[in-house]
Amino acid sequence: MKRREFLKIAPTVGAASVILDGCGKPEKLIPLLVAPDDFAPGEEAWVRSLCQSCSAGCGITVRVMQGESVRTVDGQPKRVKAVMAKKIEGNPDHPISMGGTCARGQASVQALYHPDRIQGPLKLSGPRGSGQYQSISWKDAMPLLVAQLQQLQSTPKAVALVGGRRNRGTFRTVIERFASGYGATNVAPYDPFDPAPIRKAMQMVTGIAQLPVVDFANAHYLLSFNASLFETFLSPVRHIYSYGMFRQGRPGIRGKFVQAEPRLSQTAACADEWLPIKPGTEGLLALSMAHVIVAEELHDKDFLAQGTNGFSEWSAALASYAPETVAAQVDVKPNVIARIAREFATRRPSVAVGDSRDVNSLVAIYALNALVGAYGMPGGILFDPEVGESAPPASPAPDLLSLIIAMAANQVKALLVLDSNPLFTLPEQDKLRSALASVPFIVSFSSFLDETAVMADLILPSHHPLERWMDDVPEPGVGFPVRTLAQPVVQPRFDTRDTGDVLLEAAKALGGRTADALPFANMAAAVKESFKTAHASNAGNVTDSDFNAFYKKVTAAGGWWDTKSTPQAPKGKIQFVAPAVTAGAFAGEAGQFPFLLHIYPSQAFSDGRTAHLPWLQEMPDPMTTVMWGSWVEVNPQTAATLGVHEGDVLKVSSPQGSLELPVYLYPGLRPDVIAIPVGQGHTQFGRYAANRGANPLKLVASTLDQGSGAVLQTGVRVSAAKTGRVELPIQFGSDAPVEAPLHR
Amino acid sequence: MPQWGMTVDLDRCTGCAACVVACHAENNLPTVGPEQASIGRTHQWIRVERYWEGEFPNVRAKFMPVMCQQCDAAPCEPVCPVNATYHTHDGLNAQVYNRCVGTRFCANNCPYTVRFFTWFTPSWPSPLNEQLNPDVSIRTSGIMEKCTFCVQRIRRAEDRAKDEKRAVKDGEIQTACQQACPAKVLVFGDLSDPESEVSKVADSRRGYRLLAELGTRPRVVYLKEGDA
Amino acid sequence: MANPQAAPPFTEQRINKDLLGPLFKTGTKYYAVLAMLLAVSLVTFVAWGRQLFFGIGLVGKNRPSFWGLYITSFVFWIGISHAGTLISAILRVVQAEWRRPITRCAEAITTFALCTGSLFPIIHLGRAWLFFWMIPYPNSRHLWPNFQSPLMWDFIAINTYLTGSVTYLYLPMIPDMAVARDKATGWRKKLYRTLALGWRGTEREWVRLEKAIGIMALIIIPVAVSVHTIVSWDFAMTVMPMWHSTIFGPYFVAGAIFSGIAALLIAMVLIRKYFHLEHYLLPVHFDNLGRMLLLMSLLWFYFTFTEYLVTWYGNGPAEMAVFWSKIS
Ligand SMILES: Nc1nc2c(c(=O)[nH]1)N[C@H]1C(S)=C(S)[C@@H](COP(=O)(O)OP(=O)(O)OC[C@H]3O[C@@H](n4cnc5c(=O)[nH]c(N)nc54)[C@H](O)[C@@H]3O)O[C@H]1N2
Ligand SMILES: Nc1nc2c(c(=O)[nH]1)N[C@H]1C(S)=C(S)[C@@H](COP(=O)(O)OP(=O)(O)OC[C@H]3O[C@@H](n4cnc5c(=O)[nH]c(N)nc54)[C@H](O)[C@@H]3O)O[C@H]1N2
Ligand code: SF4
Ligand code: SF4
Ligand code: SF4
Ligand code: SF4
Ligand code: SF4
Ligand SMILES: [Mo]
Repeated sequence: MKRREFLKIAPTVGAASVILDGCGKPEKLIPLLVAPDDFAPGEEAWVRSLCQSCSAGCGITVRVMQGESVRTVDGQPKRVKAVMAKKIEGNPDHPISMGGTCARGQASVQALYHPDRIQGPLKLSGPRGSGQYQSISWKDAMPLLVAQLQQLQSTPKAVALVGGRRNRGTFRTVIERFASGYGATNVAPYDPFDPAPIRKAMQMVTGIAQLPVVDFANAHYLLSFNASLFETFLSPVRHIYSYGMFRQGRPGIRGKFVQAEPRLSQTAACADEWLPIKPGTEGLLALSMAHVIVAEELHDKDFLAQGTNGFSEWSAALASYAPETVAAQVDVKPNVIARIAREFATRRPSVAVGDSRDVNSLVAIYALNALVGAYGMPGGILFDPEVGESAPPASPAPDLLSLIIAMAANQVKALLVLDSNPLFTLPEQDKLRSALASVPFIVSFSSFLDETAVMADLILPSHHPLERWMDDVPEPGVGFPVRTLAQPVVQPRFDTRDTGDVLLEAAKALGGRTADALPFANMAAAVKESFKTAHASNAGNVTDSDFNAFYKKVTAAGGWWDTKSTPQAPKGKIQFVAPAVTAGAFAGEAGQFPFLLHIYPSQAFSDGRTAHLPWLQEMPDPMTTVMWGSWVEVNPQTAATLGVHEGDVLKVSSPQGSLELPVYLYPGLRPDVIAIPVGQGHTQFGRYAANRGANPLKLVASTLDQGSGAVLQTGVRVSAAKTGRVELPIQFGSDAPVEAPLHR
Repeated sequence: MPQWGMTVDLDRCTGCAACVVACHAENNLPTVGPEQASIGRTHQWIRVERYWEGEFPNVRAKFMPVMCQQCDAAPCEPVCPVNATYHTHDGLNAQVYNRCVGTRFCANNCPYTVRFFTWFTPSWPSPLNEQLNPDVSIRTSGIMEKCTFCVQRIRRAEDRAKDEKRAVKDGEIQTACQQACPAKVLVFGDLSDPESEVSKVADSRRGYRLLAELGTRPRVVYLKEGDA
Repeated sequence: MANPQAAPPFTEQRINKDLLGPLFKTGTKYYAVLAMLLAVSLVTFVAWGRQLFFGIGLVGKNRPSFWGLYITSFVFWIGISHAGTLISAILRVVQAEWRRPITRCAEAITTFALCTGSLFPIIHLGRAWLFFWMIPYPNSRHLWPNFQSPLMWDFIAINTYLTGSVTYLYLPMIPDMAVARDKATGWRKKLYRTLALGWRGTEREWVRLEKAIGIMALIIIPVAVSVHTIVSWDFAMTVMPMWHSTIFGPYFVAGAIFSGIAALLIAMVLIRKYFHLEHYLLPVHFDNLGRMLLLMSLLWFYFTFTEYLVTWYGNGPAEMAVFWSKIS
């Protein structure tokens, strides 16, 4: 193929690699001593796809180029011609990403070419946890899985599946249908920072169990409680884009932003005002603001009259939340509470957003939006159209905690783990570890030997997101229908298989009901199928009477969305739910454990899932500029009373456990709080992640939240003691003793 | 001849560092590992400065992305004994890796501390090297490097425009940091064209240049917080 | 020593014995010292070889001290090299007759210190094997060094100074080479014959030699001053806080002369002791040099004080940041 043809074909055919990559079949491998005619090094093409590094669902466009790659063919290293992914950018047409990406999205290409990626199916050859595996072929690996499944089919609940939160779209459909068809499967999703309480609160307030679409790009006032909008909360790239618009995207209008949370996060750093509230008091603060708004009659009376239920009972109950009453608990001056409340109510369109472990607090926060008539309004909270398979399961799935009990009681005979690493992210990882010993057969679909995968008897590595077919309906979206397409941008680099295809193949081998439940040839076909509804709507960014032609356009566009569809309205009336908020509880006795622990997903690693990427390890943390490690944040005043300086190693102990980390003096932290980022502290997970920093999840405990059905962390108190060791965290530019500020 | 320049709207910046990683990905920046990082040898052609202001509870933090300011009167240039860093006609502070002998004088004389020295030849354990951008050369030990305004993207776009017998369009060239930035903090373009977006943004009353008093005449205009 | 008639008791024979002796017989101590110095050189070259092979990162430098010990060594040795110029040339020009026994030593120090000092700009390069790109030589690519760069000025100034000081060292040595030629046998005779350039000691030769030395003394003084001024410009021409100081020129020169005198004094003590020259290097020499050392140290202190005073008084934020990091 000539360069010009490469260029002509590449942009029009979505999966350029499928056509251009000759390396899939060994007979086409060409030793590059003499470059072949159709070799066009340096010519680029862009293929659209989906970022799967977090649940936001950003559309991306990937730069691919032909080049030579050294690959193992029949045990021999060979130089072959291949299409390689070079750079990930945001898809400029995609409604979520708007052309942007976050740091994790940028870095995800390193997972594709990671030197420690699992390169093919592995069978345990040593004791569990030893990391000793023997490489086997898919032909040998699949029967191992299928035989187990066949054998256990008649034992109820003998097979369990642990998955992450992010499964959506067709992949989710496949998993759920596999589970229901097979009949014996227990699916326990687990995510340490599960937004399920927000979904539950939204359901209680709006009647729609959906994560909120916060349209603050069009708001004049943004009030956020704990939401780390620009780091990891729901849809970071969308939020950062919105922030740009909020500040300078509208001539003459510059929004005001207030953030209430115990630690000055990266998000709070961007706010005009930061309210350093006591941990766990966000709901009290919200109700107290509601009290001011209602007392001063600043609320949107028309909206309340037409679109809501229960206002009068609710407002009557607000009496016990007057600023003067809650100020001491929240630790914000009453006049400040009142002022912010007035600003929020009068500088409309205004919108409130919040994150909390407590559903009742969230209900209080999201009720504020009803007071200012923000539901369904531009600059307020929008609603995504409901999409069948993307909605959360109606009844709460069995949770991981009860699964651990079942495992320990020898009820689980086989465990499948996909897209999650509970031995790192679950506080009760020691319990889980011992429970796993009672499970005779563990299969992991991980691409890396992480803490959980290393306990597996069989590893069936999945593709990297840039190698697989996927479709995704983002939650939260943008208020109109969006279905993003993920397509193979490059041919699989290693001998891996998409987990969806593995499940489909297993279902076929199992036959019967399982096979009937999954009538798809493969994931590519199933994903294509999922765009049928979009095609039928005959609207949106791409249309065509012929489905195949339509789908071709979808692959070129990176998905389908209909920006012109009429915005969704709330289903029924907004409900004012009787306030039932108390300050959050923290386990541990205050005398022994004087500080409240605040743990947060780190900006670079989230819950730790991207800690294996060297670019992110060497990316200075936005607030502390620390690289390659973790730290414990202490307010300088607290540090003075503890007698510690930056770099002193502190032993932080909770009723659950303890860890040791160097101190970072963090001016933006309440003196009664100690904060630690989550993400580091891996014992496995490749050369860049392993044995670096500490995992603060061990300091907390888990509990099953009855309201949302999610497994959440409990609040704990901690003590802090100097160890006497000094270990300065690695900071960017740390060796420059003084850096003259560039500010004028 | 276009005159390339950039604007940085600090009021939009969230400090998310997507730009930092994007520059790594685009420009084959090495990661040096914890030992080297601990002695300040990381390569960050663009960094996000974070300034703490005030004390608890009235504390604030501000972010400022800083890359090579492509100074018109670049102090790094005259000190280079071998002309390895020089000014191009389109206003870039160019760095010729082949020619650099590694005196580090230029880095000593850059008031913005945006020049990075390659202390050791970097390595990318296979197959990480497959991600490397073939448009950008790998810098071996002993060479100075810095933000180039993604010159490879500029030249590619110019080539394309030339092939299509037209001028480069405003917005056609995006630097990697700009393209990644979700908040649209960065705008790149031709400052000699008064109609270009970058020229219009640079004219803002919020605009200022870093350390302008040094007379380096930076090509990057910063926009401070506040109403337009 | 070029004209050894310092004190009446010295006969030519005795002077020749005292001063030429070390040239003709080599003691075991000499070999011991030689071996020690070779060992030091060997260690140096192994270290440098490692640096070339593995990368200059082996030296623990980084921002903001990109030059560290290399630049201080460079400045140190170039400073030392000012011994010869000052002692010999200035004292010659002001006709301070007491200088005579010490000039040779001072001039030798100049030359060797310069040779040592000029190695550092090469050693410090990231790609030292390409140091010759700093030499302006005609090439097919028409690539020239950048004459705007103070490093280029260093290069030129040091070369000029080196050429000048070698000449200045050599000229007064010509008659002595002739004496050595006359006494030596074997290969040494051949060597000294060549080096003596056919010196016969005629009146005309003496007059011309004196004239040449006088001219060189006049030339070498401004060259020396310019060299250290230019070395100071490596710093002063930058925009770095506390580097771009206008007093660096004279400050560096004063510091150089100061350390040059000190180096000379040390060398003289050693030579006096080990070559038994107590009768040539007299207390008056040490006394006079000591006074000069005091004078230069006062001058040097004045510049140092001024540097900090002006910074403190100016109170620029960037300058003060460096100021505090230096004094605390
Ligand atoms: N940064 C940087 N810039 C450089 C250099 C460097 O080292 N670094 N090197 C410089 C040097 S030495 C050179 S020679 C130039 C090279 O610069 P160019 O001459 O621009 O070289 P190429 O890009 O290799 O090729 C030019 C074009 O010729 C086309 N071509 C190929 N075969 C034919 C043919 O048969 N007929 C026609 N009409 N076209 C054909 C190619 O497709 C390509 O588009 O670059 C110079 N610029
Ligand atoms: N793969 C590939 N091969 C090519 C080409 C290509 O495009 N791709 N292009 C071809 C063409 S058109 C050309 S012109 C040749 C170019 O081939 P080369 O002449 O080998 O080109 P460069 O890689 O630019 O290397 C020049 C060398 O000069 C050194 N250098 C820089 N300054 C000086 C100096 O002042 N003095 C000395 N002595 N050396 C210095 C640099 O470190 C570098 O090692 O390559 C040809 N070969
Ligand atoms: S927010 Fe970042 S990690 Fe998440 S999908 Fe978007 S680009 Fe990927
Ligand atoms: S990507 Fe944009 S918002 Fe993020 S730090 Fe860089 S400039 Fe700021
Ligand atoms: S910012 Fe520094 S490196 Fe860039 S042109 Fe200016 S002086 Fe040179
Ligand atoms: S490090 Fe390279 S570019 Fe910088 S001054 Fe020295 S030779 Fe020039
Ligand atoms: S312009 Fe390009 S080279 Fe410069 S900082 Fe941005 S991405 Fe890096
Ligand atoms: Mo060439």
